[in-house]
Amino acid sequence: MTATLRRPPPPPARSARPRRQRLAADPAARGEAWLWIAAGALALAVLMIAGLLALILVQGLGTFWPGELVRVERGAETALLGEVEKSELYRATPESLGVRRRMLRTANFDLTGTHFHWVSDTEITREERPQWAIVAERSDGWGRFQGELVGWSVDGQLVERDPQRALAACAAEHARAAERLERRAELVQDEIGAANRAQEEARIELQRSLREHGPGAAAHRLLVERSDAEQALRDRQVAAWTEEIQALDAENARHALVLRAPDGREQPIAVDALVRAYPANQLGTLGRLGVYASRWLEFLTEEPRESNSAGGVWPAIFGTVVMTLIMTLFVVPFGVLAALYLREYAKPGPLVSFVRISVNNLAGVPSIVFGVFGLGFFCYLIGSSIDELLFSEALPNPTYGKGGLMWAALTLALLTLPVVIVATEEALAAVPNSMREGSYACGATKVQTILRIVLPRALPGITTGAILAIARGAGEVAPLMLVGAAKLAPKLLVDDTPPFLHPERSFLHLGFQIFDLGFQSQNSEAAKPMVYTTTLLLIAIIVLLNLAAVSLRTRLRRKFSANPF
Amino acid sequence: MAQGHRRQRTTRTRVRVAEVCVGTLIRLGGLGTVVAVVTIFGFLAWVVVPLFLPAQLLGEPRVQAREAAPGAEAVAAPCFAGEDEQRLWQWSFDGDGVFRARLGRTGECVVERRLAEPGTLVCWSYQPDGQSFALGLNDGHALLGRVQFATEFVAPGARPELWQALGEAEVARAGEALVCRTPTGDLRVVTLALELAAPQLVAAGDPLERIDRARSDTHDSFVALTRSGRLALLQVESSENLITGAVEWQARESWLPFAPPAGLAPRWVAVNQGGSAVYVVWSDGRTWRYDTRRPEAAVLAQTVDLTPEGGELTALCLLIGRSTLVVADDRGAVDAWFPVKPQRAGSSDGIDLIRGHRLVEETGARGGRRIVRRLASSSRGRVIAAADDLGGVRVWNVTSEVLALDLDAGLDEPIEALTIPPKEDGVLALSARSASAARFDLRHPEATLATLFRPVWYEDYETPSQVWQSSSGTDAVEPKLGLWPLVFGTLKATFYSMIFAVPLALLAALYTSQFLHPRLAGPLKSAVEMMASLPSVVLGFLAGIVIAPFVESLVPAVLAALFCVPCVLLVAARVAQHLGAQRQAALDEGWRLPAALGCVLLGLALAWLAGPLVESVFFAGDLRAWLSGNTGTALGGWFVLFLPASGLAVAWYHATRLGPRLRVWSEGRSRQRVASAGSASFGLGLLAAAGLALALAGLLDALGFDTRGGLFDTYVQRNSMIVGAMMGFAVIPILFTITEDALSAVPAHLKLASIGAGATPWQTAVRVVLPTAASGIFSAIMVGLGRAVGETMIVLMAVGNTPVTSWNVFDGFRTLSANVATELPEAVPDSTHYRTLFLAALCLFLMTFVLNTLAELVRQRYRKRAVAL
Repeated sequence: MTATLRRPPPPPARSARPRRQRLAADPAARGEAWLWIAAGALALAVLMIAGLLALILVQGLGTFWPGELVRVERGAETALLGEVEKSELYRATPESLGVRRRMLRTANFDLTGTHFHWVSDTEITREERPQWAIVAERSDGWGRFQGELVGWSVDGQLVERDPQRALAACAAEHARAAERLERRAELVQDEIGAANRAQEEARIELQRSLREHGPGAAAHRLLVERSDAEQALRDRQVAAWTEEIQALDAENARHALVLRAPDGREQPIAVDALVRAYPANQLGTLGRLGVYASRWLEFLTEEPRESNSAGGVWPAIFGTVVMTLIMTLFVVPFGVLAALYLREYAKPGPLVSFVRISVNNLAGVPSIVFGVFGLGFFCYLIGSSIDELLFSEALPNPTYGKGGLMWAALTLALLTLPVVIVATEEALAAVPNSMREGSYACGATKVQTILRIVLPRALPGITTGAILAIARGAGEVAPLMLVGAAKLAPKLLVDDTPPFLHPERSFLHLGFQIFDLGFQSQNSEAAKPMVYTTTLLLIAIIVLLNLAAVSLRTRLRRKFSANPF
Repeated sequence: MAQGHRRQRTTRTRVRVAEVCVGTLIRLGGLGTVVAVVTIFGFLAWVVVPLFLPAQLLGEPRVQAREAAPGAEAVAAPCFAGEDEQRLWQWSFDGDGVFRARLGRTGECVVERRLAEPGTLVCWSYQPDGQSFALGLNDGHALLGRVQFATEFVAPGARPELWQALGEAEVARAGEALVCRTPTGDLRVVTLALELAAPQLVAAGDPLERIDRARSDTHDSFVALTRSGRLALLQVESSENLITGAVEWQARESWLPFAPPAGLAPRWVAVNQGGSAVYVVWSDGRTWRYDTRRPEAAVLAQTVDLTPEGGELTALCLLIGRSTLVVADDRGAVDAWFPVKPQRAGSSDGIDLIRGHRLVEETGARGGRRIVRRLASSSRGRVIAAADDLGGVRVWNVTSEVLALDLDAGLDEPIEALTIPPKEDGVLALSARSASAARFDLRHPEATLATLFRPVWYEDYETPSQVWQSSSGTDAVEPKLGLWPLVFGTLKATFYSMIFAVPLALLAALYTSQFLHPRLAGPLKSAVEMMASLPSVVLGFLAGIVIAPFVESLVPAVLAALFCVPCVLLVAARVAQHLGAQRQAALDEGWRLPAALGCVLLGLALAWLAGPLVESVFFAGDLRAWLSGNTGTALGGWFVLFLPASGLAVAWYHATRLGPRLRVWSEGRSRQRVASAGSASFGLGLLAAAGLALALAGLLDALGFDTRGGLFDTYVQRNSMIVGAMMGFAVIPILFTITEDALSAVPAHLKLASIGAGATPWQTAVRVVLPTAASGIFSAIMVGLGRAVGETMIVLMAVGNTPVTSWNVFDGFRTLSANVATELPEAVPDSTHYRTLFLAALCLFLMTFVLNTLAELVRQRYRKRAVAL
């Protein structure tokens, strides 16, 4: 199909015609009105799509930019200090049009019980940008604290009142505190976690022996004694580690940045609860860029804080990627085999048309139906059977008999199967028959032809299909709500206990995070920025994957069309 | 194969084996796809089918003699009986005033306790869902008590003596506890706890003739009728002494204004849960209902006849929740009556007792009349069992009116007491000397095709209705699993998204394939294709959090935009007529799209400006108040509805009547003049369309019709309009891509022939390209429909998800898919709810299956035709 054919032929040159060619002038024949309506429809569709992307882009990119802190006094009411989040004109009373009101992100949730305040211009008696207003992001569950810098305190004594030096001291101590926190996390997760696991294993072993030998048996009693002794050893170790943790905590608690909230209260913020603190009105563009970059870095690499409404989405990224990879491992071989069957093996007949109808229907089945199937079939039927066979001592707590990484990947593999089949089939069809015939003529068998001639040629198409399947799988949320995505995953997918990757565990997922934060969150207004950035990230991943598929397709098409043999 | 070697004539084994293995693998892969589809369908069906299977009797009923404990005298006829959840225990309270508990398996009597002295017992009542009973004595006292079973699970190591006692036997006894093993290897200890309060004095020296008790966790009351014809309602409060642990009972007594008519004494008294209504029932069906919401000022609220067709009542019981009275009469009928609050009630308190269900019509003479003598209700659901004088026991679900089972208890004597165990897994019928325990699996008697898709008369509802309300606060309120509201929601979502997406996508595709410059069309197509993979969760999030609040503040402007944007485009088309030929050619060369983009923006801006004006002119200044029906006339709504229709009517008139005349007139006149005349007729047409719409709207308004209550009604922030628009994002790319492919695939020689015959590009597009590609477009619409039907995240996030059935554009709905997504994770596997949700998924599967197959068939026909062309 060449371009010249698709393009409408230029309209007959009207100027060259005699004026009595009346039908050409008839607007109904030219369909001018309809042309404009159709063009308008296209324009509207383009506008909608562009608007949508622009909205996400602007909101998503703007979230982490540190704004200036504004302090407003409102007569007798307490002053407010915050970043301006929104500004709008509204009708305060029917007569007065267009009073501006602004939404300040005042933070300090622990003092005021709210994250945001609306201020209308009419209430404001004084407005300023305090020079040493500080934004302190905390990791203790209360979110940001905003206030004017009082100083740096050690053991409750203000040791440094000069703002610049106080911030420098804070930064230096913050680095040391980070090391202490790291050591603490190591103790809690690795050492004490291992002890807890050992204890749980011992319990299960005791239970098993009880069932086997009965309570009074000698073998059982021996085991009880041994496990008691081991438990005592573990308890001593845990006590030592707990002591070390307490010492670290005590050291961390000594240092604090003291800020004054707009209502005059002074609040020390312990250095270990501090994620980041910056003087919002002192930063230049470079400084702001630094904060911006560090927030993005945190977003991409850290764990979430404050019930997912701040911090990072690393676990969700990881969960999404691992789930999608496992899905790819299932779907690509299966899809390629099915496509090979359809193209290379099947003889036209009822079976082939049945397979084709199956593939087409599979593509049209709503994703939620796959979720329902996954939950019922994989989790409740197969998972429960696995539990009964292999993990009976953990019952009635399900191991595989609930939503998990493995089941989610399998469900999505079914969902994306048609994508791979269709793409692979297309790629196989594009391999010229002359090449197959040439191969046969050289004496190759069918399998040799497929493996050495057809598949290598079709590989780019197959890769495209795989990428498209990944893009589809990464964005699908509805089935995951049923088969394993969770809002909080207390246990990591990958840890240091064998078998290291735990396919039975539930996982965090970017798409599910969007749904959960936007609609199930306690404080959806505060979570909104996070949702926008997560959305941006998800869309970026999917668009990149799609672009990769498209460019791969075009590049390889060009390569093969340039070289017909 | 390297050269120089001797050529191998035979195929190596390795190659042969590889040939067979890989070939098999590939064939398996192909079959695997079929297997996958069949498995999905088969599994969904496999889960759904038990929903419609009939109940199953598990073995014959086990009949045992009811023997007294060793050394005791003969057993009297039972008054009421019960079992625990595991059916380890079987207890009865007998007419001699003794409570007896037996081993369910052997019938051995292990506990015997006298509750009432011989000869003092006059009447009794037992309420299975509160496990509580009340006994009326002949000295005017009432005895209240409860039969409870405490179940605890102990590890074998914790109680070795139980473990040893159990030995190999299934059930062991330890004092007043029975022990059995659980599947996980622990021990289950079920302990009988009989709780008996000190006798309550109701009326000194006046024997209690009838008694009934209603107990729940928050409320306890009983009603008693004395021999002298006085009726008392007692509210019982029990308080536990924190130090001694003893329970003290206090009753507040109120006497109801009861004046017994001459003749027979009432056969039953009954009190509802909470004690707010008391029923006195005579055996001829007369029923007095007392309003006792304020017991001290109780009034006789209503008199009903429970046997309007005549006959004598033979049995009565109250369903769980004690709102529904189930009665049986001597003509064989079994009916369920419950109170409703109709608009016009025939009673003083606005409540009417109505007959909601007829479980059996009068049984005919053939096969004998089966007259029900005992009724028992379940403590778990809306199941009743009825024992008749032929020794048969029938089990019904009251709401669905399904006769689940009809079994023969196998007892020689009349059945005196009947009970359904707590798990509804059987029935226990007692005669004077024997007991018959049947085991059955009721499966899902509450779900039938009729209850799922037809109106059902639920308790407390005035009329049969279709409701989806799958969970409730208490067991007493039944789950209502009517799928119709969800199917309706799905259809509504699909309808609104398709009327938005189809015109937009088809027109856009037509323009892209036939009129757009190929250099633009290529990137545009890939951009739109990419939009198809935009995650729907993102669209849902934007719809719910961003678009919905934004649109809410601009509803009039959105309505105005529906007219402003097309109008501006039409005006632009007129303006284009006035342009010179060169500029028109430039438009055709690719400037029309940017111009149209500008027009759309201009239209949107105009709409934004016109919004307040529209609101003040048509909707009395406040659209939301107008929508709620508070202000203004219906004129505005009708006008908005009629404007598109009248616009089309005027356009049609213009095309068929005015157009030819204009053409004749234009002969020989200059382009400019023809264009001016056209513009004038266009302007007049606009005015005519508006005038026509206004006239029609005024007419309907004057006749008293209103759009509110139908298509327009109260505004909800997350509504169908938002979903329609956002689902458009999900559907438009698919529709656009497939349509565009179909249009582009029309053979070029057809188009060239048309152009060559003198048709304009537009005429070619409409009369040659569109008909040729019609089947492709049809299949695009089918695929788009399939996507819209199953879309989950957008509807889940962008509407309120209330299962209402109204066509109101400004209200939400709940679709099958969103419902499955929210409810399935919490549904108990294999429960009715779980299976019904699977049925919903199966419905979705079948809907899309039909749509896709249709699309595929049409596509294949189209392919054949395309080859023929």
